[in-house]
Amino acid sequence: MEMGRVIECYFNRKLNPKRIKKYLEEINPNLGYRERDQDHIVVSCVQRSIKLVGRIEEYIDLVDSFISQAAKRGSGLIVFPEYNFFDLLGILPGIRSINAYLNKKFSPAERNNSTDGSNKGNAFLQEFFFSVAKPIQNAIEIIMGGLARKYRIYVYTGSYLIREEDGLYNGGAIISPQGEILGVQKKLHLTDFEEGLGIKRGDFLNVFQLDIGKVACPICMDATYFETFKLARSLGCDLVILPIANNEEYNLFRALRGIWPRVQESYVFGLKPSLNGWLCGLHFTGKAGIFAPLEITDRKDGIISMAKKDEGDFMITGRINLKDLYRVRQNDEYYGDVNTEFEKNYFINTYKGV
Amino acid sequence: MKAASVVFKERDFYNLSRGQSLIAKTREWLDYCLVEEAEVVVFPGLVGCLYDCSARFLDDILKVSLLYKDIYICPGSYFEEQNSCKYHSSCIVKNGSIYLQQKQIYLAKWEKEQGLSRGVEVKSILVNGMKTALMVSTDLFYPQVSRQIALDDVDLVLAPAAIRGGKNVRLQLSGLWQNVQQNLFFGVESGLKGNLFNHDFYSYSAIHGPLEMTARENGLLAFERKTDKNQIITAMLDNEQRKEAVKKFNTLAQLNIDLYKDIFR
Repeated sequence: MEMGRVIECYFNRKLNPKRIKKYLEEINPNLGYRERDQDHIVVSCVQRSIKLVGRIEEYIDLVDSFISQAAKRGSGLIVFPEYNFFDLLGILPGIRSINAYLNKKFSPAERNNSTDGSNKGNAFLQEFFFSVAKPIQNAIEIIMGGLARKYRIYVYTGSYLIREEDGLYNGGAIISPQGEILGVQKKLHLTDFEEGLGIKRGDFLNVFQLDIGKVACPICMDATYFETFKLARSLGCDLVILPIANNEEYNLFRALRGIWPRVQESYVFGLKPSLNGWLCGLHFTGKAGIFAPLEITDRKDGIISMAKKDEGDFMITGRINLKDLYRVRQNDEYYGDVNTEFEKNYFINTYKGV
Repeated sequence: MKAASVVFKERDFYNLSRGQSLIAKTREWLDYCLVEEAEVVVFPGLVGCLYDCSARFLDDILKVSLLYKDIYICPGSYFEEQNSCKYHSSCIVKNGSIYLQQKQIYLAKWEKEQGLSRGVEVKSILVNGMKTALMVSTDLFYPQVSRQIALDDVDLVLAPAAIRGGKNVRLQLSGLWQNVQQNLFFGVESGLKGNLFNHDFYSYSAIHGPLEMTARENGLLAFERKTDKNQIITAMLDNEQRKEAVKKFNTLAQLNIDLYKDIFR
């Protein structure tokens, strides 16, 4: 049997749905107080560090700790970060030793002595991720669905790898308080690293009508492109979830190239859950945050709430009010103008030569 | 190429609105450009509205440009009338000639109240080997304008700005700064501070570049400080260095064009 099949079988055994469901049954949720205010919605955003787990139960506990905290704060929605499955790679025998070795090898102190490029070994990684994608996707969807139902909360799963016939995608699902998967969004703009891994990009932006508003869930790099948010607005979206896992050292201005300016120009609420920490020599940083147009934030800085540090575990919770959003869309100086003549042939005039 | 941006202080507006000659002040700014050997300079948005008539403003600017014949001058923005429509426009002049004229594409709410019309196309010219476009004030907040400019391979955007309610620097950051970061051209922005048409305008002058090529990784090659006594800020725009920076973070290489077909549905 080829190595890929062996790894897939191993993960299928370790992430057995029956075992997951059995463990989920034992969880007794404390639902907390859910705000019934028609105008305000409480939302929670996860920032967490990667923790390789040896057993699926550890991962369930990890996810449950965030969801239960969000529920206690009265949240109607909790969102998890990009690559929210990295912890599960710890199930592979020997991975912790390899991880420790690579993290040391690529630590800031050692990096200058290293001659390896980060894309080396891509063929191996591609095959590996292809093998583990299905079992991990199944496990995450069962876990998140089960916990969403228990806590009666909308859950954005964070992203994981989605294996389809034509290849691998980076995507995440939005799940209803009844535990139903309402839909999946694939990442639309890839990093060079992801391209190197053979990950494919999605070709459609979905918008989900939740009872807390219309939501889109693009991923990380998608916020580097105004087009993503312009499309979301064209589809009537009020809230954009943007999970990140930035493989670079934190810099405020780099961070400002992402969701913050998109929220300012498109007048939506933005939720940015973030994954951080080290995995196999890769360093992830980033602050989770909840963003809004300048005018409706207390300090006029576009930030409703943001993590204090770019590493570590935080739960960011904030109250958002769609009526405030609709009001500033009406009143703000630099939003909402339409130039039909300019826009009529915009697509062909702008992208024709690319 | 060395670029300059005029630092327009609140006291400049005070003096100009109480009779100081704009053309005399313009010459003062251009003298600083000569000293600094700047090859292109941008004046603030709406500065031409300090004149009663935009045609006379442009005539005077063209005459002044004859005295600084090697400098490409974007004299700020102004209102102009064409075919009984009024536009918010800007231009690039050099040595007595107009090289490029640009009408603002989008309107702020206060501009709609003024009954302004919208331009429909973006144009560019070569300025000392750099493909250069103009982006007028409100267009800084409509990223589709920047994207069209970038995909036309423009290297440099000159931006006369007048931002209403712009005392909050974050508002300005959400304008040209972020458009430079997602499109990776140079941006030279000069901001007006003052009250026109019963509205307060406030914005800083700054010269922007892709984050990867700026010393502090903040996307700013030069910027006005509150305590600054300088009349202009300058920066050397090294196009080769910019292209190297683009290689490190080439956002335009990852566009997902098929996705954008219905962007203005």
